[in-house]
Parts: sequence; structure tokens; C-alpha cells
Amino acid sequence: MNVRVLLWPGLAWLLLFFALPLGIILLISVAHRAPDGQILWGFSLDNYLRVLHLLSWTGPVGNSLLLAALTTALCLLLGYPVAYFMARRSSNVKNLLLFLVILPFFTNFLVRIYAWFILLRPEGWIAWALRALGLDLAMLGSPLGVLIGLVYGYLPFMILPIYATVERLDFSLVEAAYDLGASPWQSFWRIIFPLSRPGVIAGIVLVFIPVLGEFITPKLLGGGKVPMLGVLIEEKFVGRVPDWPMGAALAMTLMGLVSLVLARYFRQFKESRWVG
Amino acid sequence: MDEFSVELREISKRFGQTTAVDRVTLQIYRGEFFSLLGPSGCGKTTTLRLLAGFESPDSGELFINGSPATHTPPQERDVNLVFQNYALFPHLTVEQNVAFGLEIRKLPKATIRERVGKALELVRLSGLGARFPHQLSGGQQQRVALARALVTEPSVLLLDEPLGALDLKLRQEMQLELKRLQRELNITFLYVTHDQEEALRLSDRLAVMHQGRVLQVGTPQEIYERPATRFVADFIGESNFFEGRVVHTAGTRAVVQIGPLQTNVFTDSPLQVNQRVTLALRPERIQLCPPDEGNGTWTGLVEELLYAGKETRYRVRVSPEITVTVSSPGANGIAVGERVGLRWDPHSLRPIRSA
Repeated sequence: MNVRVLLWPGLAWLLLFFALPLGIILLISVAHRAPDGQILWGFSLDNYLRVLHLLSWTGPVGNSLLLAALTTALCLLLGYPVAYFMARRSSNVKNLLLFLVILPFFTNFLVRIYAWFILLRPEGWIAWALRALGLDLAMLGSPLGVLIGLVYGYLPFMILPIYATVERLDFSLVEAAYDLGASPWQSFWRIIFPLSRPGVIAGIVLVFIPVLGEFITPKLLGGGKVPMLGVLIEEKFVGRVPDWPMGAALAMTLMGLVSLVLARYFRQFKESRWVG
Repeated sequence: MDEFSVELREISKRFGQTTAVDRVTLQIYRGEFFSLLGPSGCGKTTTLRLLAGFESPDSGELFINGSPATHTPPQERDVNLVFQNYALFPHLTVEQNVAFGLEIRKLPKATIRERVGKALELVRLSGLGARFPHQLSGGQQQRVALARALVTEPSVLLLDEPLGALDLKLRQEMQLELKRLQRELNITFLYVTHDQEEALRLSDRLAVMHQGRVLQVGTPQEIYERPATRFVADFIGESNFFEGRVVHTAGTRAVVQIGPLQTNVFTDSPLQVNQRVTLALRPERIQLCPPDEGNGTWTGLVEELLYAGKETRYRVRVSPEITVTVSSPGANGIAVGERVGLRWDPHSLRPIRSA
């Protein structure tokens, strides 16, 4: 018996639950919305033209891109030092810290975002503390609140891949750099950071792509006042005025954006061929 | 004091309960090829790391080129280390690896290019500058590590078992290469190895270490011919050890009773009658002769024989309690069970401390 037989269940699954639905969404995206909200099958690119009109930095697409970029940058800035610190502990401490990073996943994501909802309320203690410092920041219903929630939610996805690469680094390379006169700062930027690049890139992909399509966090913490691509798509499908063809076109656009990012990722990966 | 390239005074280093380096005192001359030799865990690598600045001693003082360096950070020490695993930067090309130390020193680009070129020429790697370390063989990686450490012109090069990962043929080739480099550059080499033959072959002087201590320092010949302790005699080459008692002395000559047998010994330090001594005798210093020849020779029965081409090793039982290992060149047509006589120059017999 050929071993390739083992591929069939997986291929069948992909075909049935990925390729087929994708084809359906593609078909819907070139259809029309009937006045009663039903789908009028046909072929036109009207929906995509409407998407083009949404392409502005202040619209949902621009918002999504900006928030995804900001979230990714903040996660990297906060996550890299944490991952590095973890990777340099003894194995017992390492496992404990790793457990702590994974611990939030034990609770439902929705529940955790609701917790932030309570924390960020104008009458919550964070807002109270900020007011005491003379900062009157509206967090709920603002991009800031959404950003806080997104960074919170996606930080582990940045920490884990970076940790995995840094943990495997040969730290005698740092000694070699010191020996040749490099300061700790120089050895970090010339040796450690370039060598941990695969982890950093994986972290960026794991944070940027899902945040681009996020709808729970902006919906709950943005209170409908922070338009994002994910929220918009959700509304087109299950909102009060459904417009599936437009939603499908938006979804296809999001997929296009994600593919662009992924293409960039795989190019980076080819460049770092010396790894492994 | 300036004549010493490296000087250690009573240096100790503990890791938890174990003392890795125990009151080590060493003076290494400028331009010397000096080896630290010992079994794994003897403290030789820790000593090297103390010199490179990666560890700091619990007590004692360290001088490099005559200046105190006990607490100098590794960046500021005029020493470079060739790591056991080479520690080449995998994301940099050979050229970039070698240029690293020069770039850190912010030298002009033209100077860097010139010195990198020279360093690669020195280790015979010209033309491979654009390769990445993983595209090189073990021996070539070793050369890159050497070039990278030498290009900044340190006054001392520390080498941590640099040939440990290479196969025998390449090892011997690299030994010659190292010796040539050291002669050409005339810088101090401090070489750590557990391979006694390598240490004897390469070193001007060497120190034998065991359990964190330096047991003996000397030229290869001194160490081999006059081992100070039983450990040294056993670790460097091979030795027969005889426990005996002095029965007669006359000047530097003494007669020692070993079981039922007697032998003459010459010593630098006079022995006392009735004193217990341990004598060491190299297997290759014993000659086979016809049995029962008298005249200070011993006679015994060949119990075991191992033919190894250029030499044959015999185990000869000379009394119920005493066997002697003999190594003699070629095959002698002697068979197991045969009676043979054993003869040696009394000067080859070394009284040693039983430590």
C-alpha cells in the first residue's frame, strides 16, 4: 500500500472545508445584494469597487492596518525582552515562566476581553488612577482601548516564537563577541538579534495577521466607534442590514492583504537559509 | 615582571561545592607555547576562562603583560580565545566573522579589508571569504576561528581544545599549522588539551593539572622523563610503578628492594635507608635480554603479548606479586609463556611522590 494514502483524509478535509467554502465566498463576492437582503447571483466587480472606496487611512481598512501594525510593534517591544529573559533562566524557572505565559489561554478569550471592558470603564480604577495623575483618557470606545486589548491578547503569540529561537541560541557566540571587544549592546544587535530573526518574523506574522481580521476586541472595547475590517465583515454577514456580497468582497480583500504579508514572510525565510 | 605574558598567583575558583581551580600559580613567558594538560574536569578550561575574563576568580591575582587584570572585563583584555566549538557567527560570512573584532574597534574599511585578507592568507583560507561557516569543513572552520582571534593581534592567544573535534589526520596537520603560526607571529599561545601527545609535541612548556591543581610545570622532556607524581607519570605516557624500600645508599645511588627483587636507582635528592619509595619506569625504557643474566637484570615469564606493528607490548611476571609492562620495537619472535630477562638503565627509574 502506498503511504500517500495517508494524505487523502487531509486533502479531502481541505477540499471540503477550505477550498469549497472559499470558492463559495468568491462566488458571493461577485454577486449582488437584492433589496430584500438576499443574494442575486451573477458576475460583477461592483463590490470590489465599493471596497476600493473604503481604502483610506481613516476607514476600516486603514484602521485595521494601522492598529495591526501598532499592536505588532508594541508586542515586539514588550515581548522580546520577556522572551529573552525567560530563555536565559535555569530550566525550572524557564518552565514556570512558560507556564505563566500560556496560563491566560486557560480562560476563554471573550471572558478576558470582558475583564478588560470592566478594567477600562470610565469608572474603573485604571481610569481613576490616570485621572489622579491629571490624564483624562477615554479608553473604552477609543482606538487606545482597542490597542490595549489587542496587545494584551496577542502578546503571548509574540513571546513564544521568540522564546523558542532565543532559547536554542548558542550563547558561547556572545562570549566570542565579548572576547573580540564587543559591548553587550553591540553583541545583542550584531549577534543575538540577527540570529533570533526567524522567531521575530514568526511572531510578527502570528500577531499581525489575526489582528488584521480581529472583530471581538474592537467590537467590545471599541464599542462600535472604532471601525475595523473584521467588525465590518461581521456586520455585513450578521448585522441588521445584511449584505453578504459586500461582506464576501471584504473578506477576499482581507485575504489578499494577509497573502501579501505572508509572501513577504516567506521571502525573509528564504534569506535566512543559514539557520538550521 | 614584564617578561611574563601571563601570570596567575594563587588563583582559586569554586562552583558551589566543587573547587574547579585550586590555588593555581603559573608564569607564562612572552612568545611561549604553553599547554595546560589534564583529564576532563581538571580545571584547565576554567583556568582559560578565568584568563579570558568569562569567569572571575574567588581569590588570587591575575596579570596580563605585567598589569593586574583580575577584574578586567573580557572586552578590555589583550587576549583572544579560540573556542572549543569555534563559536563562529553562523549568520556572517568567513570575511565578516574575521572582520568582527576590527569593526568593533572602528578601524577604517580599507584597513579592515587588508587585515582580513592577510589573516585569511595566514590560515590558508584565501578565496573562501564569501562562504558561510556551515559551508566549510571542520578543519576550515577551525582556521576561521584562528583567523578571527588572530586578526586583532592579541598578545596572548587562548586555545580551548581547538583540535578536539577533528579526526586524527586533520589533527596532526593542524598541530603543525598551529606551531607554524605561533613561530611566525611570535605571540604567546596558551593551549588547553587533554591529549598528552599533543601537549608534548607542541609545547615549549606545559603544566599538568589534576583536580584543580597544577601538579608539575616543565618542558615536555622534563615532564616525561622526570614526572613529579604518580599521577603525572601515569597520565603522561605510561609507567610501571614499583613500591619498594631503600636498603642501601651511596651518594646519589641507592639500592631499592621491591618484593623479592632489587634494583639500582639514581636520585637528585638523597634517599634514606629504610625509606619507602615508589619508582616509575617507562615500558619503552626496558630492554628484553636473555633470562638469568644476573647483573641487575630481572627474569620473568611472558604472560601476555600485544603486537601493534611498530611496537610489541609484553606483560612479564617477575614475581608472584609483580608484573612489568615492556614495550619494544617490532616483533622479537618471543612467545607467550617464554622466559625473558629485563634490563634498563638505572637512570630511567624515577622515584616519585605517591600523590
